[in-house]
Amino acid sequence: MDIMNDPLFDGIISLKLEFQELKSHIEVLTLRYGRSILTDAITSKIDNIIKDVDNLIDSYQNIMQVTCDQNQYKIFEDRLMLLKGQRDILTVFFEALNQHLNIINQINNKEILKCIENFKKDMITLANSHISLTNQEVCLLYSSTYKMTPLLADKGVFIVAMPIYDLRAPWYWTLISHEIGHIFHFQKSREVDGKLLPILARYLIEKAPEHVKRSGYVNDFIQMWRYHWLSELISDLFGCALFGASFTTSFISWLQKVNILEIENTHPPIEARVFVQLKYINEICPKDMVKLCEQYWNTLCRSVKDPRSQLGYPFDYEILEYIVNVFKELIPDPPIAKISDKILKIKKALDAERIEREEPLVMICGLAISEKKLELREDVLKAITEDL
Amino acid sequence: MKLYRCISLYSNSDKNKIGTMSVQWIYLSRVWNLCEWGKIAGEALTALSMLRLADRRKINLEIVQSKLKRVNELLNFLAEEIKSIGEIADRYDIRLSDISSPTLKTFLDLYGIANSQDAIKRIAMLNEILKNILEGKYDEEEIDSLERFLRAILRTSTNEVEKLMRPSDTVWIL
Repeated sequence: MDIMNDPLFDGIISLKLEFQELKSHIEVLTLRYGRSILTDAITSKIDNIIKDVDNLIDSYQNIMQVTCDQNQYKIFEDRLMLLKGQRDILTVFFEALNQHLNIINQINNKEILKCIENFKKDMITLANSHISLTNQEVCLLYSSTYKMTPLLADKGVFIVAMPIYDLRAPWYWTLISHEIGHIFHFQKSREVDGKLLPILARYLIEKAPEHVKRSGYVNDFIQMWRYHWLSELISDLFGCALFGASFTTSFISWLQKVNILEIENTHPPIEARVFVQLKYINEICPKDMVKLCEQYWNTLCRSVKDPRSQLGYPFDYEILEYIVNVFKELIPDPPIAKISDKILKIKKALDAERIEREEPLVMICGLAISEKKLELREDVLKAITEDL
Repeated sequence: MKLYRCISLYSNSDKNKIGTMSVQWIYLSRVWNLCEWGKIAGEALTALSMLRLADRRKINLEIVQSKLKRVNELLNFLAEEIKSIGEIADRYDIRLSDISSPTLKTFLDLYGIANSQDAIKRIAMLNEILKNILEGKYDEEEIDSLERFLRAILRTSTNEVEKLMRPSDTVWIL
């Protein structure tokens, strides 16, 4: 076979160039903005793939010079396609990194960025007995929304992102804890799934309404719980375990919508998510925090919820309560217990238009539940940045 | 209440991005893993072809063996998933493939396996075949049998990744 005139071979050698190009862009970013654990991790990932492409080139040359077997050709095509898929994924993260570095260089007020970075660090310290980050780091990127990926976990990095538009809305910074919750679930998935999946499956099978059984949706629901919904609820509860009401009120405010019972393919209904949080907060937080969350949620419900409608299969209240109970066993000493009194004290002072000094994380959490959050936002940020 | 027919496990079909915290990136890592399983299968298939060519060409047996050894990782991954959902499927009389990942589903469908015991037995058989090949005690039939399994895994990975790369379903070309 004339391999020099084969589109497949051209595709493979071009792919190697493409990965090298991507690597050179990372190097430019490193030169411009400095080396970081994230640039190192992406570079290392690219190097691994370049080795895979080299292996593909070698095997193609070895085999296609001897045989023109169509099956062999298809195998090489498939291998090329998978490597292209990985190229596209790495490009997403290159773009995300590029965008992030541009943003932090465009922002004049570097102190706000330092505040957020410190907030993230303090949050991880608060969570450190529940997530294991001995040889790993959490990198926070400024992006389009709150998200997380364990893609670079094997290279020592968890990437977490928050939206650029929330930089100056510090009460939403607490939502990053939901993303840290995904890291928690990622690390504990065997334990969490082992405890919960059998019970969830039993519930989904035994409680399925007749029309659901007939239409064959039960297995689909098992899949959705397994792949999406459980992870979201566990991450929500993790947010509560760290920040209590300062997470839940921000959560309600950020995700509010008219249809709080709507099931999304990837996320449970808002009502189910808030239900588990309220249940959990009721067990681990001071009464004042519980009351605050309930009032906040009820205000939304009064306006958007049809009083006759309530959660049902596949999100019945009893299964949601069971999830909360299992989560309580996973985190027997929630970090919020250590800071809830301080948060409430800050909130009380802010409500009285007084700014009291505390650790920055506590001040942000206090601001998140204060009635005066809009008015005092700048003052609180100023107080925090003065201490930087 | 709205009911949804099963969506692709790895894609995010939600059009409303607000309210979907953390979705897309999590999928990317799942797609990445799917690519990795496909690559292991693909490289092992190529290694088996090299073994067949060994009498005609000088080949580096060390590389061939290292690529074949990685099939163990794939088999362990399948065994882990069977362990995690097998009991549920058996206890409630659910077809195992109805609640499996695309990779495990392919394996189960390939051999027409419905329960976890049969699945584990088949994994053990594949492990045995792999061990024989690695020790050089194989026959053509064994190579054919391992190839059949690897080809199915490679095809599924490629199909799933291709599906996700189409703009309509994609999670990363927004």
